[in-house]
Amino acid sequence: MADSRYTTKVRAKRIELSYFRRSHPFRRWRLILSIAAPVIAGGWLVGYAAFGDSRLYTSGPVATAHTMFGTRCADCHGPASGTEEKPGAREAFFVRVSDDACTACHRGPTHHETQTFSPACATCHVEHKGHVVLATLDDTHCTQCHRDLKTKPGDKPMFETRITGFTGTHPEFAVKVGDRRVRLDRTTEVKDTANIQLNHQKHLKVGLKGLEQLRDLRGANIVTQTAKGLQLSCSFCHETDPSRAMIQPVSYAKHCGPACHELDFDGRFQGVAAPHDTPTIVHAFLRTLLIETFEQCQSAGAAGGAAPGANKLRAQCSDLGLAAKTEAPAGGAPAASQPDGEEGRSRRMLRRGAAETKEEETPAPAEQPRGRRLLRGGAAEEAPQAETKATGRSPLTWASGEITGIENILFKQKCQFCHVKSDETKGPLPQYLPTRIPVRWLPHSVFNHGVHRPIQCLECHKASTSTQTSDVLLPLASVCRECHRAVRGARTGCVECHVYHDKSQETDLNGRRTIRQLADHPTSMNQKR
Amino acid sequence: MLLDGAQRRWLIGTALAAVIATAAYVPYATGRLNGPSGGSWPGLTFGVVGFALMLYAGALGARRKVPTWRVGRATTWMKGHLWLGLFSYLLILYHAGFGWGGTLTLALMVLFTIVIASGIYGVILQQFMPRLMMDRLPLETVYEQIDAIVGQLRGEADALVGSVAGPLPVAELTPPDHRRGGGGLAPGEALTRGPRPRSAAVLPPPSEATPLRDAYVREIRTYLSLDVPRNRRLGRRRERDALFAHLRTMLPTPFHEALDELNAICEERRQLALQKRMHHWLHGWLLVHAPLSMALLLLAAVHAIISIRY
Repeated sequence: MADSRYTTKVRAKRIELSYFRRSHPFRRWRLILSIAAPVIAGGWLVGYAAFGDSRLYTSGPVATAHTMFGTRCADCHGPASGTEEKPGAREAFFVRVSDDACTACHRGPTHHETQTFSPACATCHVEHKGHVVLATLDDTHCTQCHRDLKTKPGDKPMFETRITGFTGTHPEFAVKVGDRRVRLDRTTEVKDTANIQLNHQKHLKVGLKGLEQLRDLRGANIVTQTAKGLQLSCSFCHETDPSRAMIQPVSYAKHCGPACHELDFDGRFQGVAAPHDTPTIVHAFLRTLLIETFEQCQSAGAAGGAAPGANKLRAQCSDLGLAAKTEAPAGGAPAASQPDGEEGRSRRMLRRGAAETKEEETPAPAEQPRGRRLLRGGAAEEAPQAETKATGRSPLTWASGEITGIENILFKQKCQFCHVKSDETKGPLPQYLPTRIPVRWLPHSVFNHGVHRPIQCLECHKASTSTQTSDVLLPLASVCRECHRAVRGARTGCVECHVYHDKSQETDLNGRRTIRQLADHPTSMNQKR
Repeated sequence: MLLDGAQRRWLIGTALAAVIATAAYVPYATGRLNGPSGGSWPGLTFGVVGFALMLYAGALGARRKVPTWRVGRATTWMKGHLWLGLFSYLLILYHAGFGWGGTLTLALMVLFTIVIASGIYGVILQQFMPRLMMDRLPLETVYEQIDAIVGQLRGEADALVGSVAGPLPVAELTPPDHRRGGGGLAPGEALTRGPRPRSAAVLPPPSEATPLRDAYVREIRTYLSLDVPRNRRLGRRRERDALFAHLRTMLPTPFHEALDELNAICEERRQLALQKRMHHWLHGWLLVHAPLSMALLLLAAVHAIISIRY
């Protein structure tokens, strides 16, 4: 189809000589758009600026806890400390985040006094990354020091000096034995020095005596039904706090006493148990109990009575050798072991307390342990007055005669079953060493029992084979590493267990600000403070 | 062809620079406590150098406005625009630590990615489309003159058919005002083609050219208008040849020369339509690339100032 006569020269004649002087739609649109695009972009910035919204410029979302301040840069970004005094310094161009902005709300106590340097807050806690928790740090923050731990001149490192991570060179856990730290893998050296006699193996024995009674008393959750019978659950004694993180101390009243280790001391005092208190208190309790029982027996003998508990009281008095010769009339004094008798004794104690100046100083004597109330009430001093009604025998003399045998049983068979008697006993009463059961074994770390609750306790704590109090039942690091491993396991970061700042030194901010102060300008509060 | 052997030095230089930048980035990114950050010194360095290269790449448009300035050859500027612009993207990625950041930085990265992607797309098109146009468009002309030439072609076709088939039953025979150029055409001249030896035979009466006139008015003349539907069958060579072969059988021999002439006009019209489309493909990406580049430079400058301050 090409025509040889239709040459380029011929075709060129069609073209205007001045066509390039006129704007072409394609070029025109390119120019228009090249102007419009920056104008739109500039308008976007101006629009945000007009509304005072600086979110546009943040390099990322702030941490969850700081969301409230996320739109106000000046809350954290400001002149460095000390520049306010210089004229014009506030207008300084650079507005970096200083530690002052952080410490306005967070105290951030020092990690260790012996550390050679303290990083700035923002070195570790990097904002604008959208972190949920700013304290979630990479191990390198810790290992920058702990891989080759240096301390201030003159200070000796308290810890392993070369740690690169939990799965790597993390040392075995260590606990305090006396004044020194002993690693758990040194089985001959590590021991629990608590002054208590406890056999975990016995407590975990299947079919242990009293478990049915305990189950009836406290519910089915405290025991485990095994094929061979009932077994005490660890969680019966080792309860977690409401947050489920920490294990609370074992309490005698809550865990040892009911249905198991009750402090009953004499079959003649049915249902009466000694208080779980010091020997002095126990002694006072017993003496008061004996004197009061003596008085009741005397009263019952004189007045008689046909009250429901009268016959029981007479039987008790008879057992104690204080029996009245005749049947008690109706309305006689209740026995010490009966609930109404307990109530009556309490009322008498209160009356006695109200008459004395000493008691007036204590506003709520009824809340005090029974033995202590009795001591302050001066039961022993009252005893001679009761002698006027006795049948030839002084209540104090009688009580002194009885108490020796009772205490002998109580202290030797009951108290010393668990408690360790002190060798430095002074006076007639025995002395027992403070239990000193550690509340926290590993104070340099945190552990949340709640998140580990799907795992059986005995998987980590080998209590079923422990027969001695001195056994330390903490798991070795290797037990943790069964789950917390580098590949396809639970997390192994330092911050999983360790806390950098000494939380005990942290300032509590509770209730120091109004809502308006916090909402308007939180960091300014720090300057005014 | 845009990418040829002359680009090798630029290619090697850019690759070398990328290797050096990567060698600097990797230890910085892996060794830094909190990972790479645009606010750290290495991050700032990447950002500053990257932004400087972006400014250089953006200066190409300004350079074209002043072609007479002695600031380097245009081809060198274009090579720098290509390779340094591409390298700047890598540096900005290193500056950002491969993160998106906040709203502004996210917008910047999106814009930058679109600019770079459209630039690469443009380079690829520039690589093969000129050759394609050369092969497929032997009658290619100046893009801006396409509409004017189409008007001329229609006027020529009207005159040609009118000369053999008598007056055409259309409202306006004269094509819309189109400037004639080239210096060799007289105003009102219908046929601009070279001199063609006329047949000595006398043309038959116009009544015998009715099929030609009808086909021209009904279909061919519409095809020669400015806005041609793409699916018009005259735009497809095979169908067009079939139409003209059919007309050839219906018309006396003396009319065949005019028929060939008309077919040539249709072919030129087809090529001009194709040229227009290909030109839009070849340069359309600039409507995205250039405006977004301007917006990108503005926002990047604001980001730099704000970030350094905070």
